[in-house]
Amino acid sequence: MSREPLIAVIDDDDSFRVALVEALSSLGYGAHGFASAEHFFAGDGTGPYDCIITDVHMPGMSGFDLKRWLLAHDAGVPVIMITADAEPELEAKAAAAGAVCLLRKPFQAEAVTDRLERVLKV
Amino acid sequence: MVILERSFSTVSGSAPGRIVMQIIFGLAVALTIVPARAEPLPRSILFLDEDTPIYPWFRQMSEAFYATIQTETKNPPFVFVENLGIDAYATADYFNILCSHFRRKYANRAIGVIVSNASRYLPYTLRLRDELWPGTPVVLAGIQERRAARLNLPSNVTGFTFRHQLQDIVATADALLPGLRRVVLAGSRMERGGWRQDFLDDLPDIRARFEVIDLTGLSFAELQQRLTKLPADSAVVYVGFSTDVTGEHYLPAEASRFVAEAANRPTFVDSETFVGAGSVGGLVISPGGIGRVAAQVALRILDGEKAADIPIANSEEILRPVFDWRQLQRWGISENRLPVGSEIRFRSPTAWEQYHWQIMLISVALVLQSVLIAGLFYEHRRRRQAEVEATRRMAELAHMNRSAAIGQMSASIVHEINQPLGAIVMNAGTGLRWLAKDAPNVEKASQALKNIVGDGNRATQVVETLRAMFKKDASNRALVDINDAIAAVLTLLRIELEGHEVLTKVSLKDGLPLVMADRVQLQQVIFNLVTNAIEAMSSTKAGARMLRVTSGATETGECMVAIEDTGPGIDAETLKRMFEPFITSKNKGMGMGLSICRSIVEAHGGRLWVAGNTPSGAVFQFVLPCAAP
Repeated sequence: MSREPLIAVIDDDDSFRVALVEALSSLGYGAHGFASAEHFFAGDGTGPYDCIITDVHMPGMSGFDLKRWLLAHDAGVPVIMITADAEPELEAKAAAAGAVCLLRKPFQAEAVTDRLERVLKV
Repeated sequence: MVILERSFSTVSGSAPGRIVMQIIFGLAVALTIVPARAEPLPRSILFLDEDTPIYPWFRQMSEAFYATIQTETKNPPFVFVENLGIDAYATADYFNILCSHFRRKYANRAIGVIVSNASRYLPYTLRLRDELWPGTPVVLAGIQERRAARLNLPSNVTGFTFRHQLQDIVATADALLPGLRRVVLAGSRMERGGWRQDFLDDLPDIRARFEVIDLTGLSFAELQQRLTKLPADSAVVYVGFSTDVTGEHYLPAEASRFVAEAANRPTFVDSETFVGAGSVGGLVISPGGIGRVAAQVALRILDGEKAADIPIANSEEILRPVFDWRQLQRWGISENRLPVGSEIRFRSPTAWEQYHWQIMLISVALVLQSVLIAGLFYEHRRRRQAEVEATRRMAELAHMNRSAAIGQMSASIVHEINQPLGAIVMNAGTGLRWLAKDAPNVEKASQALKNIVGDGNRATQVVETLRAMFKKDASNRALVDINDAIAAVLTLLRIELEGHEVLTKVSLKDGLPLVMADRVQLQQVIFNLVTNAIEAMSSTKAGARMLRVTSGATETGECMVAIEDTGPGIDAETLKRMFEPFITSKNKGMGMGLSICRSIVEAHGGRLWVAGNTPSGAVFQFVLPCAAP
């Protein structure tokens, strides 16, 4: 890789978003956090992102909405979905939506990086 | 014949000539002039009694006699009664005294028939008749059977007989008392010419079959004393006690009582007048029967029958088996042993006989009461079952309600816990990694640890809230900011609201006074109302689902919360009853929520009501009194 991978973290829960961003950076990734999909689209001038990690349930645009939007705009950027919900069958929904995977909180940062490595190597 | 004699005597004048004429012409005239039944007999009866009327015997007989006279003819004759008193006054010239007395007394009284109870003094009676009322037919009221055979009666004298024999009495006693071996005769000495003279003739027969203990002719005191020690296989036959050896006089009926009471064995009697005075009774002569038959015979004669045409026959009516129920009980004599046709007197009426109507009424009342009680029991049982069933269902529903609420909340709870938990795990990993580097970045690591503390606190907050929500203590009231409560519930229901694509507009008025409330209960109310609103809008078009939660203050200074939805609203019928338990417009659910909500609000001194929303939907509002600022 010519540069360190850049990852967007979209989660309305501030503390978790910050924690994930910090964790990724401690693991040598470049990570930027956004409080919502809307914020993400508004952009912060960085990007393009190699991977998007997004919460499923958020006020406004949900994780699924985001994925649909990306598909609709031919953006092939891999999406990892995360959730704090116990709602069953979300994994299947995520897979159907084309997400790399769905991770349920709480999870170790390594769970993300394992996926990232696989996604980014391909 | 009698009639002719009678008519003759009226034609002829003086008394002395009558007898002669009767003898000379009687038969001849009768044979030749029979068709000339000129005039009927005067419709009057002269009743001659030999005894004193104070005896029950005479009283019973005369009562029956009068009763028969009154009832068995349409034209009752007049009855004259004379007591001859022969026993008491029989002096030498008594007959002449009687004659002159009666001649004057009956100078203007015609007599149709003479009825004589003085059969013992028959010659005396006939002499009197011939002297004063010659040719007048005579009816002898009851002659003892055997005596009648010995009488040689003139043709215009008739009457009837009855059996009066000691063996009948003994036979009755024998039938009633199995194993009877001894017959005890108790009373005055029986004498020839007396009322019971025939008993003397019966005695040898009795002695052949029984041992006879003769206690007649004793002093009354000795008799009583002897009677107390009779052998067990004996029976007493009371033969009348009038005068004892000491010269003391007794009324036989009264004496019978003393005899029967003194005796340690059952006493049998021969007269109906003795029944009821301690004796068992027996085959008794009924003076009433004698009176009745005498009246019947007298009436027959007055109605035209000739005395000569009425044969002297035995009357079955007079000797009757009569028993005293109390004595039968006392001696343990079964009624089965009594002769056929026995009359049982003094039977203690059974409760049924005595209180027929009362028992019927009470029975009916009891039956009615029983039916009523049974009915009430049945109703009570049904009601009880219904109550149990209702309670069981309530419990079930409450449980389901709670389960449903918990289910609804659990998603939110998991979410609320997982958020800080996720952050904690993440930060912990981060911190470890910074420290594990060749050049540990302590600053970054401690930042991660600080974040963990923050997240931990946040998780604690969630747990606190949960604990508060599950706490059941109703009295756990504190000052609550109603806006906080609303916000907490909306936070919990955020996912639910999003999942149902409900647009939520929250308009909370700042600076509202606090309310004194159980925070958990208050949140339950809001939770329930918001959940209802979400469910109500499930049929509403996706874009039109709007929840508006408003807080404010009323003019009267209460805190008000309104929860509006844009669902289909509530029909008028449901609107009236929707706060009642089990009333629901939902397909699922138990309809308990609103009633619980109202109970909670009212327990806090507030009110909960619902109104229609415009253009559609419902507005649930509740107000709570504010705590003093």
